[in-house]
Amino acid sequence: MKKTLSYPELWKQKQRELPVKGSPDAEWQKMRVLLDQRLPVAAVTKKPSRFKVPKWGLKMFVAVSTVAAVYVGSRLYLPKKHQDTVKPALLQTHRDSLAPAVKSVSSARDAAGSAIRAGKPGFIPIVSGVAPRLIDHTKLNNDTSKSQRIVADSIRAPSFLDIPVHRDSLLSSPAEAVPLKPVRDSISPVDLSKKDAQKDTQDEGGKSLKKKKRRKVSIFY
Amino acid sequence: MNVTKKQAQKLVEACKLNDRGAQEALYKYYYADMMQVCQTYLAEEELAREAFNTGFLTVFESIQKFDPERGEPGAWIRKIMIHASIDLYRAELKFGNAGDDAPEPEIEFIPPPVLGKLYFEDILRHIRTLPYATQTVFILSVLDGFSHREIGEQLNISEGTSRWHLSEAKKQLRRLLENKPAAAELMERGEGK
Repeated sequence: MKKTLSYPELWKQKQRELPVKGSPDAEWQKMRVLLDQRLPVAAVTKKPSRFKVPKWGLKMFVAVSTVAAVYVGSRLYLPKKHQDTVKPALLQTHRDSLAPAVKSVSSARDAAGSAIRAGKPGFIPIVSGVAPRLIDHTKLNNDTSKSQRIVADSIRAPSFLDIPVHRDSLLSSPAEAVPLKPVRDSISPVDLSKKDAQKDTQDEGGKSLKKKKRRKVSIFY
Repeated sequence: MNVTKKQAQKLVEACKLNDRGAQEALYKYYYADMMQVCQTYLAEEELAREAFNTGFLTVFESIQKFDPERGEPGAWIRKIMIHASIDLYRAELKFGNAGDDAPEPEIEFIPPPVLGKLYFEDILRHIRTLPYATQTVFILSVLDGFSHREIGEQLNISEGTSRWHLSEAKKQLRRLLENKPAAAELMERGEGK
């Protein structure tokens, strides 16, 4: 069936029969020159991304990152704050636990000193320049040869030669002073209870600080 | 160049980003159609090319304003080409004193069968013999389908003046074709059917 065109369409069809003059490629070169002058490529600064991020995606990202930041912040900051509040309390508790031991050391030293001064039998005036404080006794006690020699020099020699050892002469410089192991055969405990004495003998290795304190007490026997 | 309408739309989108490749593709895609428009309005070849390039420069400069929802890019570019062609020769547009009470011209002033057998180049040659203002109104109305109101706005004349020029153009053109033996014979046959 032949398609009939309306009158305006017929005119348009006639117009399309008009031969086109000129070459598109040649005309484009002229056009390009005009475009470079009027619309240079560098003039367009905004170039949309190939991957467009939707608005809801940005909102979601902001929300998730905020939640993550709050979570991480709470995990990092709050425990530190908790530590800051708990640490002094723990330190105080630790000090309180040490106080009786230190006190007992002081009282033992005082008792021993008064006994020596009074000339009570069984008390040999061994005075250490080391104050009852927290030191690494493990290291000192491991040096057995030195401690034994000092024990021999300070305890046995004076008793064998029957030369009284003056307290002042034993107050050597603190650096030379070495805490000594107790010589239990010749010395009786001063202020330890029976229970504590048993524990002390069981734990020869001396693991806890408290036990080391007790051992130190024995220096003043 | 075979480019579908959808591809033409994509080319327009790329042209909005000042993409030279897309601009070249769009330019070449519409070259033939738009050059024919310019050649219809302007007799001189050089003027037609100038109008074409001026029109396409306007297209690229104002392509950001193009809204695909309102129409096809081809129709939008065609309008710009018509404006560019008329602007280039506007100095020659002399309308004179035309009466506002001109009769509504006959629509099918050339019978369709006769029109179908004529070469457009021959018709255009006859159109070129008319005064420039008259031939411009005729082309705007008959070939590009503008209303008298649109023609009046475009050429800054009244609707009556536009109507008169169209009427005069049709009359003269019919007369010219009747004086041509071959065309007259065709017209006689066409009218007889």
